[in-house]
Amino acid sequence: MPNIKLRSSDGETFEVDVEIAKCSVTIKTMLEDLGMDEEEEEVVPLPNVNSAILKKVIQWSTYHKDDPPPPEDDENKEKRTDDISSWDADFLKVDQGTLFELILAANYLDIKGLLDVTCKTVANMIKGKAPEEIRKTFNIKNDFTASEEEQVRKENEWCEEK
Amino acid sequence: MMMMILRKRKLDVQNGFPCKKLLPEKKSDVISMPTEPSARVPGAAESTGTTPSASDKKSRLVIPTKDNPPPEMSDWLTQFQKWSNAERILAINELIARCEPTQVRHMMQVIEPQFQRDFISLLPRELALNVLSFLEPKDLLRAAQTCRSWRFLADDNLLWKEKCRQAGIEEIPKRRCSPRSPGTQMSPWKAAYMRQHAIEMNWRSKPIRPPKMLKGHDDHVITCLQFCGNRIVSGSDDNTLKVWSAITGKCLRTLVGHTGGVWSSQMSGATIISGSTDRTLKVWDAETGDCIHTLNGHTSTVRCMHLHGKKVVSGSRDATLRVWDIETGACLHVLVGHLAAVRCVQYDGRLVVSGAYDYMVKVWNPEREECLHTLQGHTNRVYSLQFDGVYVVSGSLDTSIRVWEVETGACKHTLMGHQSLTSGMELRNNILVSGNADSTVKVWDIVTGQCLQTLSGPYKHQSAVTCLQFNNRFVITSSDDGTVKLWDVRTGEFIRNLVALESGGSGGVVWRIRANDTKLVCAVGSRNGTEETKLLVLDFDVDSNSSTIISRTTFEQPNKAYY
Repeated sequence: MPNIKLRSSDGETFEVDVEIAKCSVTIKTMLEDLGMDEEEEEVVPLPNVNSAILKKVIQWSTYHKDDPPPPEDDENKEKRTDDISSWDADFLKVDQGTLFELILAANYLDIKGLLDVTCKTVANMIKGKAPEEIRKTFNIKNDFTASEEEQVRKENEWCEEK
Repeated sequence: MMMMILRKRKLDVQNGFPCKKLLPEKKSDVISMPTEPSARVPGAAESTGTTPSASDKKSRLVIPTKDNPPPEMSDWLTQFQKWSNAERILAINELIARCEPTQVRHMMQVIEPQFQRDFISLLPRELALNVLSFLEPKDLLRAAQTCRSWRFLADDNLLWKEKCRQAGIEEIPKRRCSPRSPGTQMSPWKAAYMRQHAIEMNWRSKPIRPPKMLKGHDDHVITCLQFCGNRIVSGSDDNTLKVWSAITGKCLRTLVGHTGGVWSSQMSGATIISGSTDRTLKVWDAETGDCIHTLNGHTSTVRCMHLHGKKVVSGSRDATLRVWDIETGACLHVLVGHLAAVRCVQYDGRLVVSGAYDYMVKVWNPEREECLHTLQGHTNRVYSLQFDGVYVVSGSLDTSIRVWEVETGACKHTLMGHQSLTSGMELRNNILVSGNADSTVKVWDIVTGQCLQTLSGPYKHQSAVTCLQFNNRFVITSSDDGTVKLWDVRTGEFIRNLVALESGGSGGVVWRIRANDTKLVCAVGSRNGTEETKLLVLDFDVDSNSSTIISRTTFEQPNKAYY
């Protein structure tokens, strides 16, 4: 398998199997559009991804390289968050800053599988929490005025059974 | 002791930290208290662990703050900054090793927020919405309460449109303007979702408001019931039908003309069709109460009928079916072939399906007056039918329910499990719910032939099931035991009694029920005088006083921007 070189924003170069790099639709398109010859010693610059995150992305893509192509967003499919594989769950045991950057990188590189699983991970951090717990989890300042807060509470009241 | 203080002051000056600068302006602010060991700067313990004497006005505050650091800290930090990364990490490790648990915990509390990210506020909008799209409505509501930027995104209209779609809410109900100030109006889809949820809770668990009682038909039996829009039509063996307002509960018209009991009816818009033991069908105008046509031809009781468009198909005890044009009153076709009374009929505009007391189900081409298939297999009278254009489902006194393919006439499944007559059924999206005289109700998948749920258990009906209706959440069932019960269609769980007549068990029965999203109409009474014949109308709408009235006024101007 031919390799290509990816350069992170902080100048580090990673040599990666082309097929793995092509998990990223952005890189795939870049290679096709630019007609980058795989023989040549071209380096693909990725100015929006730093080396630490790029390393993670390559790690993820390597593990998932043989995955079937992600299904198109099915209108009727219910959005689930309990279907994260244990490998992905382990892979995403990172601090929020890293997770944040992974989402941005997955979006920039257009890697649907990684974007989905990272967004689901954040959704799972929100699920089942009271507003105050959510604030604590993400270090959010409550910027509602007292009267706003009262209105928002009323507006978002969820009738529970019994 | 004094020596130590002096030494310290000397040190302060040498370090370029003249105490004077650090002193508060007012003398009274000088706090003097013993320093706790944990507040000491490591290595400086011997110099700070003393109480300055009252006369020593130049001593610095004992409690360190950012503006009042221990004098040696600057050096310490400068030194730290001079180190390489590896040296710093070593130093941090050593520092942590020397800390007490409470100090390490403090460190964690300081460090943790640095690794926290307010994803929803900081991510680009589409990505934040993508994260939120994975949340369930309940979590979205809580997310909206955290702060302004979360609220803005968690209230996104398209996000809620998707939640509505998942919940089967296909359109925004016409409703009055929200009382909120302009610019902060709630997403229409969110409002629709919230309304639907509130209504669901009203059905499920909120206190049931006292029903409207619509008394009529004296002590006669209500044999058939129609409910459409705000109109209710009850047919009775007192030879009349009555048209009621579901809003006011008033009897608007009494349709008089039949000379025998009314046993079947259909309704479409303002047109009502009735079938009677007087062998006729009548077409009525619900608004005026006028009888427009009397359809003569059957030679015995008209027991069942099904309306499709401008055509109604009637089944009679004379063993025939007739197809009528309700606008002209003409009999278009006669379907002859059954050997006994026709008890049930379905018509989809293309095919007629009939069930009869000759144990047969027949599929007809009405235009050619031709019987396409005779579906044989039942070993007793056929009482109920459902037909969705593909499958015919028949319920019989032989206790079985059969599923047939209408094109081939083949029996696909025989649904066994009930112990008695299947009196009522409803079919939608291949899910069949059957009500039986054995006092149970069953939910079936007619494609696989599996019984998905049996609505029984400790709260089951105590007598024959008389009528039922279901949607994608609930099954509503009525019974000769005088109750109307609400069940969860997915789990088969009993939710609660919506109606429980006091006379239940001693004669009071519920004959028929009809429901829409927010209202339930029940025809109740008794044959022994314990319960007066009447209709009960239960309202499960939110804000029932204002919504119906105000929604009419805003009816003309739906907000197209959101469709």
